[in-house]
Amino acid sequence: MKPKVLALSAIFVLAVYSVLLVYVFGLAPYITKKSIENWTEIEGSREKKFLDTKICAECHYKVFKGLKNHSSVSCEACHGAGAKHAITRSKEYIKIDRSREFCLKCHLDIPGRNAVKTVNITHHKGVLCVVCHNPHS
Amino acid sequence: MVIDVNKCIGCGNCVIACKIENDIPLEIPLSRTWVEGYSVEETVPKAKVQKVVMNTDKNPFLDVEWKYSKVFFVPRLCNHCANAPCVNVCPVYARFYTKEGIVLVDKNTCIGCKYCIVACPYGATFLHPEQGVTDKCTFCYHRIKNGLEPACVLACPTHARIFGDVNDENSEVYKILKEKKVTVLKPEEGTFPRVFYIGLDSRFVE
Amino acid sequence: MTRKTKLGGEDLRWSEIVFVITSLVLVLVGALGIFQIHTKPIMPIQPFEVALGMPWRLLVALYVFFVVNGFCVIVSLGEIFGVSRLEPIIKDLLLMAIITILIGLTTIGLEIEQTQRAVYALIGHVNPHSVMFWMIMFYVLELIFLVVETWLYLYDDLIEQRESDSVAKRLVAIILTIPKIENSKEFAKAIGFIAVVTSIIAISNLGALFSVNYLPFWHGPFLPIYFVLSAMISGTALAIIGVVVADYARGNKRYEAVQTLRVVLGASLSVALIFTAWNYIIKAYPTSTLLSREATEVFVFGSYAFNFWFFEATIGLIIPITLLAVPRFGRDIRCVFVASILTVVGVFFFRFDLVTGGQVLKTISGLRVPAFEAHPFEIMATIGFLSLAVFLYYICYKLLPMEVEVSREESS
Repeated sequence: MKPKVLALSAIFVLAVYSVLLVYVFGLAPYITKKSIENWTEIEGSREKKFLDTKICAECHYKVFKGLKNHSSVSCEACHGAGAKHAITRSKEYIKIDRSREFCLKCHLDIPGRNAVKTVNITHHKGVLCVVCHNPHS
Repeated sequence: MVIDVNKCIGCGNCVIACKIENDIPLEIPLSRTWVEGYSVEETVPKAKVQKVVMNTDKNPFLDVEWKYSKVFFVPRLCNHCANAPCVNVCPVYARFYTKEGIVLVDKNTCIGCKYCIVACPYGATFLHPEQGVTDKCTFCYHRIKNGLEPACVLACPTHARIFGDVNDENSEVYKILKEKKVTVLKPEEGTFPRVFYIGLDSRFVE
Repeated sequence: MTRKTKLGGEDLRWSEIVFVITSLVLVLVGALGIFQIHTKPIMPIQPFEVALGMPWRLLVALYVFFVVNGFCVIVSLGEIFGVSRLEPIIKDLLLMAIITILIGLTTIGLEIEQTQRAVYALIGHVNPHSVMFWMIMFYVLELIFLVVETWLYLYDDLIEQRESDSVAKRLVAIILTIPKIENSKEFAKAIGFIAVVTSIIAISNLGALFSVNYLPFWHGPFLPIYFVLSAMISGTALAIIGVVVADYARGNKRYEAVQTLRVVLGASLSVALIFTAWNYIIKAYPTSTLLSREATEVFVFGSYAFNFWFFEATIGLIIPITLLAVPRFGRDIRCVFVASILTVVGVFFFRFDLVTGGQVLKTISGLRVPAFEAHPFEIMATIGFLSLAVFLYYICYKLLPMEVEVSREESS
């Protein structure tokens, strides 16, 4: 093969490969770093829908006085997301579910529940749990 | 994060709270965190296992027929691995580590090639049906930046999920890791996950 | 006596018109399928850990089928290493190589969820650790080198085509010969060498993309090599099909070239038979690692058993080897053609089983392992891409100077 041909094709090939390598290892890290910083900023400032128990306590401090059995459960575990309620102070953004199914979600005696007191589904069937048991006591 | 399997009662509050906090539709069976309920019978050589998964807002553990006597619930989520396969394989660098070690998904860059879904050995990532990009647990990054807990930790009634800074000596996580015996899921993968389990029978958990 | 078969400026036959219309209709069907895929979700909305939601489906298998083809290797055998019997088919193979890679990249571009972000890998969002990124880069490089090589190889014939009878051919020839180059065939050889090196790197990168994952069916260092072998098989088989069909349409016979390809195909198939057998035996062996046996169970008696035993093993390997090896059948071009078609079907199912069957076993105990059901939109898209490839090949064959000097006295 003629040396001129060899040299020109070698130059072409090396040019293409070096463009690739310069792009990947030289230029691209700047763009990826910028987009990562951008996204971390976006992710860190998302809207929160749940708050925290201590924020509930700022208004509802009286509830916490007698709280014994459910003291390790956060308010929002049963009452739903509280951020909107904390801002609007209105009843429509907080949930109070007094039904049997709601209590039995945690307290039904399926096997494997060693961390809570469980109760059978036939226990006073048809009567709401809150009639006899106060969840905030 | 540390998860105590003995304390999980399979109530599913964590799944619902995560879906509400992170804008994932409730009725679709995809979630950033999910609860697996196992019922096993220890026969030799192969144990008999029945597995039920909760990832919508309906709790299946209350109605299902548990075939065998030993039942336990394992909450699962993204393990934010230190050597995450999803970060290594993403072609456009849409997954990255923050300086705290949390793995985040850059939804503005993700092209939806789904390689991370194939690569994750824990099945923690999924394709968001409405946004068309991949999604996964972020440890509620927007909450922990402001000193709150992740939504699943907040919603758990039995304190089965404990979140904290492993390097902070006052945190509960540090104390647990110092004193108790913990395991991780699939240590043989070499992913070095950051979610530790107490009381996990990992023979059946996939 | 040798006679140059002039192929330009002939009238359109009735069969050609039917072919063009059919393929355009099928391409439209495919476009409709792609449009539906992007506007309605087709992946069953199930989390992956429940093993029902499979992220890589028929389109990824189609991509693997398109791009893993060893046309470059055969071209290098003919062009650079001087196997002169393969010279009459080099142009066809170059064209097929470009078209399959182009269509393959289009397939994967339309398969990803955010097609409008497909250029992100080129505008700076790169992850040097990712095998998939390097695979895309090497395929793009290979495409560049192949286009340059084809242009250089056809340069002299394009200069001749400037005086052709048909207007389209003249236009194409004039546009493509605007730069002046001497020794174009030598340049083509040099670029061809790099093209084949890049091609082998790219194909083994695709194999590595599968092997670095945790899935028991894929893991291990052998998939890159297996893909190069499979590329040789499908490349030779598709080359035989393309050459025989083109010869049938044009009326000449490139017998010696097809016989050389038959030898290459037969050898590769025999190696692949041994490879496949040992692959399954080792993975199914009692002392092999975690989950490999469950992975092979799916293929040997599970939901992929029909795909594996019938399509991959019998149609894809055993029958073609018999047809190619037995001299009575092997010397007949028709038998070689049939063997190639069977091989291509078998190879398609091999790639499909690898991609989807590997993911089926993401998890084990306690779950049933479902079979993969192709959604109708995916099937429409597949048909569309296949017919687009054939249609493009036909168009390029019409426009580019694909004449070859064939000696008429050699016939079967």
